[in-house]
Formats: sequence, C-alpha cells, structure tokens
Amino acid sequence: MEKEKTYVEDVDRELYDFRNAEKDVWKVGEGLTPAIVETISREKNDPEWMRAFRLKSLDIYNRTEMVDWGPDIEGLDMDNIVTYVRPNTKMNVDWADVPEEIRDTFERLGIPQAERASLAGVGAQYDSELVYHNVREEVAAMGVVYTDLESAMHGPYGDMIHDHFMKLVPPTDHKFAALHGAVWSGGSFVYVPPGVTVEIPLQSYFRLNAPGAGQFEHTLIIVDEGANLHFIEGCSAPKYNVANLHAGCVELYVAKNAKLRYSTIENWSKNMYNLNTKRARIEEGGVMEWVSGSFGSHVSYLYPMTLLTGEGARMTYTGITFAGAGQNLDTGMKVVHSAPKTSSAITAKSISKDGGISTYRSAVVMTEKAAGSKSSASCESLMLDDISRSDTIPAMDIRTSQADVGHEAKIGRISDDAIFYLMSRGIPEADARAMIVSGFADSVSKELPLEYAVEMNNLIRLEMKGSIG
Amino acid sequence: MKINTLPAPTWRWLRMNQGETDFDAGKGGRLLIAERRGDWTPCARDFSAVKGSAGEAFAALAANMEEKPLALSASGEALLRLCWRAEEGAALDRVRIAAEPGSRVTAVMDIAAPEGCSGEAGLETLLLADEGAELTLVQIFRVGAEGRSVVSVGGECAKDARIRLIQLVLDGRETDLGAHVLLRGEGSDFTARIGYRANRDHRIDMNYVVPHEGKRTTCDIQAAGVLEDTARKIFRGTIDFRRGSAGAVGAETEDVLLMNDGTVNQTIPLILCAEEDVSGTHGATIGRLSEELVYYMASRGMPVELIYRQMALSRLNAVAAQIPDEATRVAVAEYLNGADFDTDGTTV
Repeated sequence: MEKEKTYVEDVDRELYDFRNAEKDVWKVGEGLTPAIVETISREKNDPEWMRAFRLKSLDIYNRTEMVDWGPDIEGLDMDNIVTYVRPNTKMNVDWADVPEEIRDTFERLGIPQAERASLAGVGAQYDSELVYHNVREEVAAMGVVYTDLESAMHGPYGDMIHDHFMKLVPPTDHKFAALHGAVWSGGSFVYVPPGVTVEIPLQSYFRLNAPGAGQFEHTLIIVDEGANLHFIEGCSAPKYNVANLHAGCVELYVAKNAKLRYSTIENWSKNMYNLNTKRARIEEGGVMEWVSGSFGSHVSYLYPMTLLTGEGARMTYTGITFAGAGQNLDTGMKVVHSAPKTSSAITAKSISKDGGISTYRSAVVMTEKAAGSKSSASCESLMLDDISRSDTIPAMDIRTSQADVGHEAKIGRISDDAIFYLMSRGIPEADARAMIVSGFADSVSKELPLEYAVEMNNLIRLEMKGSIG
Repeated sequence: MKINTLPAPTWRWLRMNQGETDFDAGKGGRLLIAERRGDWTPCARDFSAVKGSAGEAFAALAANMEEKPLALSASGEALLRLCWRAEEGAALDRVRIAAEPGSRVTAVMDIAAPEGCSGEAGLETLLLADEGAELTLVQIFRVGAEGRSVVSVGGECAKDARIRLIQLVLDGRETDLGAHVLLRGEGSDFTARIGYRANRDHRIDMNYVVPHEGKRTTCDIQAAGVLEDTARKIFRGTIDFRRGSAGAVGAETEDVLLMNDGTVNQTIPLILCAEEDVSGTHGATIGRLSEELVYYMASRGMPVELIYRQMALSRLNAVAAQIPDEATRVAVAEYLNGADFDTDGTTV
C-alpha cells in the first residue's frame, strides 16, 4: 500500500504578515558611517559616554571579520540597511495615546489584551523606538523599575546602566555585537529590588514595520538578591522582498539567590537576518531559566549564553526551532561553569521541513573552578522530508575532574515503534502520528504561560494525514 | 599545518575546529612487515579518491614522499602485521590496502618506540573494502613519553563491505589520529573502537568522519579514555547522513575518565543530516566515576585509588580485547600490566 506523507503545515504567518505604509517616519540614510552613528546619538540625546561608546563600537565593527562558521549571510548588505527609523510618536503610557495605526498593529498581535489579562507590565517597540511602556502600579510600588533604556539612562539609574551596559556582551564579542553597540536604539530596562517577587510576567514586544531596516533594541535586566522575575520577549515583522536585520542584545544580571525566567517567541518574517545576542551572569545560588521558541527569520544565529559565576548557580534551557522553506536557523546555547557546584540542564528540539535547515549548536564549558558541577543535555531533531537538513554541533570543554557531564542527541523521523505501540492501544494511526508530532513540542510549550503556549501551538499547527513514509 | 578539520566548523573561541602540528618528514621506510599470512599481492588500484582523516595538508605532505607506498591487495582470509622501526627524527610512511570481494582481511600496525626515543611517526593508511569484504585495521601507539605520532586513515566501503577500526593510544607526547570512512555501498558498515590514555602534559587530537551515502549503511564509533596530570585531548566525531542514505543508522559514544584536575577534555560529536529516514545518536559521559559505583566497590573493601586504577584499566582493556591478532593483544596486555596510573587526585 502506498504510504501518504505526513503533512505538517507551515507556521501560520497570516497573523503577523500585515504591514503599515511608511508615513511620517524619520530615518537615517542607508549604510553605516560615523555621521549616521553621530546622528543617531544626537537624536537620542545620548550622554557623552554613550556617544563615545557608539563611535568606538563602530570602529570595532569595521575592524572585525565577518563570521565564517555559520549560515550564509551574504544576502545581508549593510550598505542597504537603514539602522534607525523613528515612528511619529513619543513613548506613551496609555494605549489611547498611541497613533491609531500603530495601536491597531499591537491590537492585532494581542499585546494590550495580554497586558490586561496576564502581564505586570508591557513595553512595545515599533521600528527603532518604544511607543508604549507601562507597568502596573502595584508592581511599581514594590520598587520594580520597568522602563525604556534611554529614559533610565538619564534618570536615577543612569550610573547602574553605565556600569552594566554591554559589559556582558562587549562590542569586541563579535561583529554584530559591535554593530549593536554603534546603532542600538530602544529596548527595556528592568530592575527588581532585593527580595521582591514579581508574580506575573513583564513583556516586551518588538515590531519591525519598515522595509530594509534594522532593529537594534537593548534589553538590560537586573534581578537583585533574592528577587524573582519572569520576562517575556516577543517579536514579529511583515515580510518584504528586501533584507531586514535584527541585531538586538539582551544582558541579564541575576544576583545571589535570585531567579529569572526569560521566555522568547521569535517570529520574525522570512526576509529577516536575526543576529541576536543574549547573555546572563548568575551569581551564588541564582537561577536562570531560558525558554525559547524560534519560528521566523530567513537566517538566524541565536545562542543564549549563561555564565554561572557563583557557587550553586543553576541554568536550564528549553528550546524549540522550526525551520521551514527558505529558512536556515542556527540556534542553541552556551554555558560556562566557573564556580563550584553549578548545574545546567539543556533540552533542545528542532523540526525541519520543506527544505528548511535547522542547526543545534552548543558549548558547555567547565573551568577548573567548577568542581562538583553537573551538566546534562538532550537534543532531538525531527526530519519531516528528505529535502530538509538538520545538524547538531555540540561542543564540550571540561577542565575539572570533579564534574559530571552528560550529552545525548538524536536525529530521525517519527518512530514506527511508537506509532505501532499507540495503535496497539486502539489509537487510529493518523491520531497516533498527530500525538507524537504535537508532543514533540510539548516540553517547550508547557514551560510558557498558557496564553503564550496557545500562541506557540498556533504557530505549529500540525495537520496530520496518513503516515510518514 | 592544520589537520583534523571538523567538517562543519563552530565558534572559533572554542579552538576545536581543527588541530595544528608542525610535523614534517623528509623520508619514509620505517614501517616493516613483521608477519604476513594469507594471499597478499601488490596492488595497483587507484586510491586517489580516498580521503584521509588528517586532511589535505597532511595528504599533500604524504604525496610528496619519494618512497612509494606499500600497496597490497588481499583475498580470502589474510593478516598483515606491520611494525614501526623507531629512530630519532621524523619519518612518514604510506600504506594502501585493498580487501577484495568477500575477503576477511586484518592489518595490524604496531607503532612502537623505546622509552626516551623522540622519534616521530607519520602514517597515512588508505583502505578499500570491496563488496562483502571485512577489513579490520588495528593501530597501537606506544611510542614512549617523548615520541610523536601523526596518523591519517581513509577508507571506502562498497556494497555490504565492512571496515573495523581499533586504535589504542597507550602513550606518546603528541598523537594525532582519526579516520575518514565513506560508506558508499548499500549495507556497508564502519565500526570504531578507540581507547586512549594520556598523562603528563601529553596531547591527543582525534578526528573521525563517517559520510553515509549508501542506503542502510551503519556506523558505530565508541571512544573511551583516561586523562591524567595536565594531559589534553580533543575528540571530534562526525556522522554525516547524506541525501540518499535512507535507512542509515549511526551512533557515537564517548566515555572519558578524568583522574585529576588540570586535564583538558574537549569533545565535539557532530551529526549532520540531509536525509529523513535515518537514525543518528550520540552520547558523552565525562568526569569522575559515579558516587554509587565508587561507594559500592569501596564497600567491598577496595581502596578508592585502586578502584580508579581498575576502572581506568578496564577502559583500555575493553578495546584491547577486540584486537584479533594474539601477538599484538599480548603485547598490549603486558604494557597495560605495567602501567602506573596517577590516582592522587581521585576522590569518592
């Protein structure tokens, strides 16, 4: 009997693939020059140290080689990228004050509704600037600061920002970190004071509307001793025929015995080069939890990095990547254990279909200071046809004997044995296959708040017919 | 020169993408035939398409040697035992072996040197396993604490052919080794059993690459080793499922026992997959012995130092036990009986 191939739908982009006409926006010219960087700095009323930092970063960018180990990014020509696009509005604390077209954009994405239902605060960025930022009064009353980075830099937290900005991800880290340092704009600053637990999440949402533009938001979060926060990051863009670029930067500081969960649903359009950098430093007894879903982008380089610097610090990473037609998504994680009794647990999944390329890339490093540390990793990849590609490139560098490091990886298609088992329990074949494919993503969706798990499940609508042949 | 390059590079800061060696050899002729059993004949087959594991720079160095390679073809059941004649200085030899259809061929290479000899052994071994043939290559490295080995192995398997590789690194200041085996024919198979021990400030650099092209091809790479003192080791293992290799199965595992702090262990097991209907797995276990195991054995009266010594030996003995040639197996056993492991850093 001829087997019918399982059909797995593409990620449904209808919800995200709408665009607004560019009107009343102000933007710099294409390309990257000292004059453009100076202009951005002036527009943003930077303090002098930041202006100098931008110019130094530009110099580093010009001197740094392009990466030569990952997906091809030749289609990204910085001479054609507009690095700063300012919408015609200031930052607002009331959605009613946001220009109608932009407000409608975020309404369609469900952000104000989510804010009312399940968030402690929201930041919404449109192109290069935040257009809305607000935090619930009761959360602010606990001393939690959640605002845009530019305002914070000029306020009482200016010194804190000066001391932390691009210290975890210096411009010398790689070429696109240097680019970020030169032209960053927007993003959020969060400070959670000692002992404060923010019961419900904060969320920042980044929308890039302008064709041929770059978005370079910077997120800086400091969770002080014994505090607890869940932060959600979402992003999307309409699809254009020209390359767009996202080179954001996320820096997370988790103090002694504090805990931070950072959840991301990345759903950029398929003309996007997503060259994002995320890094966290965890002090004694602190906990960092990454939850990551990567669905969009034409090319993605995304590897959240965790530095476990304090004794007993812990990290978990739970991620899924879905690479469809025209996508080359290179994702994974990095962790450096540099203190005793630290631990990391990694669960990574990927699905490749319709010629999509998915690569899981990781590094687990244990220095000689990491005695008594443990790391375990599990990586599973599902191939849904023979025109796609799935690679795993996990690296381990262990320099202490007092360590336990385990790594497992599996690549393949849906197991015939699993299908047989479920069918032997009376489940029809099509349902059995649907259960297995849907269940593949469950380890990530169950880590998300309900509303976001629903969104993720919408993103992976798996329609099953027949069997994988 | 760069050697042992990963087929898919990763972050440069990890320094795992390739190894480096300044090995240079102006002459060969150090490899002697110690024993030959079965039907061996000179071989005129073309090995130029067979890629070695060390890479192009080493292949170019080998190609420039004046001495012709030892090229032999075997049919039926055959055994060839080769010994490296240790001398000071660097030398590079080339060996080509073709296992004819249906044959059972074993080649043993004992690369040995007396303690204190700082000789450098370069060896390029290329293999062809014809339809239904089983070709076993055994390489033993015991060149003393000052010796150095740079070894490149390449192979190709025809339909239902099998290449078995056994490599055992017992000592050596620097050892670069690996294998690149192309599973071209349907149902072909590659099995590797690698055991190593590195102590002092010694360095081992390994690179195993197995491209699966034929349908229902299989590979199984197992490496187990012990690191002591300030020894460094990198293991690169790549299972490469190419389009058309439907039904292929590949597995690689590594088990590393770290005897003390100060060692550097790097592991990078890759699975590259361009075919849907395959199954690839890899696993790695790195560190000290499990507390449960040590507790159990200690409760039976064994001192912790002895437990670690026995467990270190067991990793090497398990690989040595698979050597099909008794003379080599005995030589390895004698060496291991005299091995002294540094257990000062071991703990429960």
